Amino acid sequence: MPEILAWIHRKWLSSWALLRQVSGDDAYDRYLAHQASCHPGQPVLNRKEFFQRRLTRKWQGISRCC
Amino acid sequence: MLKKLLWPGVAVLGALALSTIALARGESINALWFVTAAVCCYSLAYRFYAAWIAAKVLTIDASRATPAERLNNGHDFMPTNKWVVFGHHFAAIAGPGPLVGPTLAAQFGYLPGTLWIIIGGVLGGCVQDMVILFCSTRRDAKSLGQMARDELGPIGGAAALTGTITIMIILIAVLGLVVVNAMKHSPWATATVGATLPIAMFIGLYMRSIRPGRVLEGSLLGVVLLLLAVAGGGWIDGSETLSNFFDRDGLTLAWLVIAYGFAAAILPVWLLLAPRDYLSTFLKLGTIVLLAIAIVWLRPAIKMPALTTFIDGTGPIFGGSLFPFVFITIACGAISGFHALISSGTTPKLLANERDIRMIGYGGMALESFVAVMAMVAACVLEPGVYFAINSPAGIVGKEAAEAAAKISSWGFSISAEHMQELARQMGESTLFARTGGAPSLAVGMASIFGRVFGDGLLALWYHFAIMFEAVFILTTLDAGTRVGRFMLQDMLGNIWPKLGETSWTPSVVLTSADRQRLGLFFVYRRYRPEWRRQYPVAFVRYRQPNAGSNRVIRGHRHPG
Repeated sequence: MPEILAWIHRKWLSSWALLRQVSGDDAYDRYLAHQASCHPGQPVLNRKEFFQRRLTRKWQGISRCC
Repeated sequence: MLKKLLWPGVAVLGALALSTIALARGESINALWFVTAAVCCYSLAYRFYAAWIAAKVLTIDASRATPAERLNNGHDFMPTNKWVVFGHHFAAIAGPGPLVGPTLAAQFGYLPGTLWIIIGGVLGGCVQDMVILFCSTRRDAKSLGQMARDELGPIGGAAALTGTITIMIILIAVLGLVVVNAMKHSPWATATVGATLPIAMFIGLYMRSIRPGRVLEGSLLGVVLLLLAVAGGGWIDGSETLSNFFDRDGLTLAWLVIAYGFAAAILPVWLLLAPRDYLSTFLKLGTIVLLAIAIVWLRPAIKMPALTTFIDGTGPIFGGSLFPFVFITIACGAISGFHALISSGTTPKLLANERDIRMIGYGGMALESFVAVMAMVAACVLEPGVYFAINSPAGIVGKEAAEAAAKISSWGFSISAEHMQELARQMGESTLFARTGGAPSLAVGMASIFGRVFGDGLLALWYHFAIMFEAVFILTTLDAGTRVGRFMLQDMLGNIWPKLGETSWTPSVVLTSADRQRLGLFFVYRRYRPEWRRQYPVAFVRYRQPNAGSNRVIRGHRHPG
């Protein structure tokens, strides 16, 4: 029984992580992780600035069809 | 053993379903056959045809580094989980097109549209999306325009850009009219669609300033508010003074949509466009899943005949014979050149492995094609008389309900004015006659399917939910299209005077946005001021004119007289 519960718990965590990633909810966390691993020591944007930049970039070009 | 039998089994089942659809005459067939035929065809094509193209034609190489890996910068280029890329890609390609197109094409009967959606999707649209995605991935995720310039030279590049702008203008104008027709003289629909704007703005503020970047939280809140707006519209419809205020005619609403389009093109994206895009994506996925479950569970019978007499071009909804009009009406859902713009530039920057190209390019389009099949089912489960009463303009069938009902019955689709009156009452509308454009009849179809699951008492809510959902979709496409057109126009004008090319220079923004709107005006005038249509005939947009006493079809050339 505990194995099943643990399995459900794992599945729940991974689906939740996927949902956050699809919707872009965790974009800032991933940005911080990327900065920490690839550009350590450099200044990072704060949450608000990051999302402003992200939106501007997304809507610069063609981003959707009919 | 079981494994060996799986694919032959799918093939036999698919062939059985397709032949049932194609050969049934006279007796009513079940919507489940449509879903079965579609699912079997897509899975066979995905497993064999797409795999063959990927391996033999494109020679996809799973060990080759993608642009996302080579140019990874943490924001634009970023290797991403393939399901996440699939979600983004699907959300970008599937808008209102696959819902509205099949609904209109149902005037030819269910057969031509359904066959074109399945065959066109499997052999055309899916292949196109996959191949462009591949080409762009191999060329550092360049956009279609850049690739055209590189491969065809500056003239070819400019031609590709001009073609894109033209398609977009037609798209914006047609979609704008769909919203107008759904709202005219309907206080409930107008109030609900109107309420989506402040809701989107509030969510925009919420995600920017109150809780920056909390996308899931903000979207959930927005969806709840939108559902409340649907119910609130019903309350406004019940109150006399308020419903008079929201009861507007087509021309006024068309002006409002134009004014709104202009405002949306120059407002910052975070305020309106971006939050509404989040909301429409959530609504879209929810509604599509709900519709699929409802169709499979209820297995409604198809009431539309396989072919109608209107394949000769005498149809009331749009003039034009089966060829080429079934192919023009259903673009998104079968094959859409616009997808090439999404598949190049945007999606390849996220691709973690070339192996995923088949699933994202081919699979994403197959899913959109499936959405189109469901829209076709939703249109064809309506009584044909009801379908034609909703979609035929008053200029063809007459303004009075009795007159229109008699005219439609004379075509062999029996319908009575009382039946339509009762249906309109159930849907919370004053009338359903001549609500052209495709959105209202899809909404009636969806409401009647959902109504059978959740009870008839909620029909009016479901109807207006469907209208709101389509309007949110369409307005998002309208905004994004206007904005993209603005960028493209600025890009082109920037070659003449560099200052105009600066996307942050306010006079240039206003000028180019206004120019886009001016083009939109032509279409509205073509619709509502018939005398203009001789001066600005544009190919492909061939709605019947509401005033036309004759059955003349507006073609891409001037009409004598």
